[in-house]
Amino acid sequence: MAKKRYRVVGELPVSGTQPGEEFEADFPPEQEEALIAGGAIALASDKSKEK
Amino acid sequence: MAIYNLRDASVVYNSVDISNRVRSVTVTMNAEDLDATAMGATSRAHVPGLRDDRFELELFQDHAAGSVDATFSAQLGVAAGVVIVVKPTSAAVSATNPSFTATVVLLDYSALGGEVGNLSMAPITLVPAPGSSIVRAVA
Repeated sequence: MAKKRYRVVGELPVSGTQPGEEFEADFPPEQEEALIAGGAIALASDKSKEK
Repeated sequence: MAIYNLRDASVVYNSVDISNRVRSVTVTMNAEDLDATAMGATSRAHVPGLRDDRFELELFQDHAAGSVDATFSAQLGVAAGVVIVVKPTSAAVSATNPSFTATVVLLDYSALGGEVGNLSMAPITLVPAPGSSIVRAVA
């Protein structure tokens, strides 16, 4: 599974990364979907989801 | 670590660090108590049965993006479950700061609750996914 780069766009840290910061991870698809749908993270290139 | 004042517990659910929304956390590792007492016994015979672990959290409700409500409501009834890791402190896992980890499912979630004038709380109970139990680790 290839790593992707994410930005924490929610109010709580994700994978040890503080809100507003970016990190790389290889989340399983279901986990990635839940985190993005819940507003915790966005793909780093997806500017529309950033604060 | 000797006896300690619980004030920095770490709770990470589905990779989201919800620690600063946690009022209380309880990690219960339990085996069912099977009564194998037979005639002639002078005391009860207890046989450990199936594991029946659980995590009980009392959370300050927060409906902001990526926070309590968004994180938990998305997992209600998801059979595959997600991973939770609880530690006594936010420091790295060690012999004196063990982690308690399980893949858990959310069966019951109070999205909104409280009395007038009080903080809105979200009590949550998480149970291990079928066939699993809480694992304690020190590294």
